[in-house]
Amino acid sequence: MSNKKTFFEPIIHNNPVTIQILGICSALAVTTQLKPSLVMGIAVTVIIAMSSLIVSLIRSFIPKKIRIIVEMTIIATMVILVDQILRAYMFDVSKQLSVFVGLIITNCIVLGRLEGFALINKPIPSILDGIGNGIGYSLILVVVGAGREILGAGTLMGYSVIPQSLYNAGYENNGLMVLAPGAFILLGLIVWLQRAVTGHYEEE
Amino acid sequence: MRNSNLYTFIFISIVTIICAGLLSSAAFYLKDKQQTNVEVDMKKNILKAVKLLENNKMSQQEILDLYNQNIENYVVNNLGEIINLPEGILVEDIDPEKEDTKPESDRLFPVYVKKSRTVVLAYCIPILGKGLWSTMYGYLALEPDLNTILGITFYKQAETPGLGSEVEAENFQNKFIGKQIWDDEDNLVSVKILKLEPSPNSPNIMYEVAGISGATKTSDGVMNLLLKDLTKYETYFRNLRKELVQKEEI
Repeated sequence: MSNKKTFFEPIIHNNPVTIQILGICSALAVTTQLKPSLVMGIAVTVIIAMSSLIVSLIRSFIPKKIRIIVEMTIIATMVILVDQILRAYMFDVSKQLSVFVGLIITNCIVLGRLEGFALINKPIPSILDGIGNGIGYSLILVVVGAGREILGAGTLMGYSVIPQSLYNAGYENNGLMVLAPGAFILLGLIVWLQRAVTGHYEEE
Repeated sequence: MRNSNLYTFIFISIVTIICAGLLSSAAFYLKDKQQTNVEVDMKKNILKAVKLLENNKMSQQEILDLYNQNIENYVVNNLGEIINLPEGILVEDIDPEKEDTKPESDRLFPVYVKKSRTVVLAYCIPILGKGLWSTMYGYLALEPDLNTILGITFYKQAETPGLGSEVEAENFQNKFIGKQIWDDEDNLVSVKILKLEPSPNSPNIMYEVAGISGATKTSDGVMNLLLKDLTKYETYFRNLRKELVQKEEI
């Protein structure tokens, strides 16, 4: 597989969230607003890319029977590093994401890419695959986050986007969008839309 | 070779040592910066509660200067007496969470006062308590009448992002402004958090605010912690209020 394909495929055609249905938990939890979705996306991208690189570099030394433990150790280290750096340099954002940065450790996409790709590929393709999957994940988070913030709170990045005249005419924010079901509905619509466009179907 | 137990053992030891080293050095080098962030954040929130913080774009130094110029602090005990702290311990160092674990008579309660020369403009106390997932930390500021709420802030919590974490949002906190904590018979009633907007005709509207939709447990937590923490200061506030009444009579 060419490097270009490795990078672009997970963004649309093999998107980890909408095609593989991975990382749903955090896609539901942090997407009530655009800003945390964005930061979460960047954090996950950095973590997948870095841990893919490291695992790929040491892939021929990892003993088979403890490979998952090694992968988890590397992911956990990266996650804690990112958390520490956010706390030191982006204090407000780290407060907003709170526990969810730590929970990146349990994001199936990260472990999935290490197991499925980095363990059997060279460093450059691995890092591209990591970034590609991270962007694919971020893309969905950003779309869901923007949708939920606009429909649920009438704002985007904290700024009002719905004109007051619309509210005066009887429009109301949709409270359901702030709750988890709102994310399920939006995510479901995106999955449907994407599969309708790309023609992807689950293999029997 | 790669399948031998010894190799596995050595390999995982090396990985662990490298990872541990990396994390300890990161924690070590970033610690000062993180602590300053926490300290400035605390002072910023006291300033915010007493309505001294005009915007969020102030530098850390500006926040510290503003704090030092306007805020005085001291601690009281559960009898409402002002206590002198031993040399070297600052009021800011008093951790209200640790105080809660001490026997009642040993507890110290910090009070932050906004003053202009000798005139008290606001009283501010730390508040904390359990929400749904986490302990929420914040400040409550009262007007000099010790009855009307001037401001409330939360600065540390790990509630559900977008739902419970809205306790940090201004539009939730602004609902508390102007509410009162003592009823007409001088009982400490604190503020009640309802599921819906309080009806404008409610006789208790002075003591009621609407909670966060979708975050009932967090809202209940805020209600409970307000009552709990105000009760700690009840004796002290009662004394101050008596003095106020006496002054008025003179």
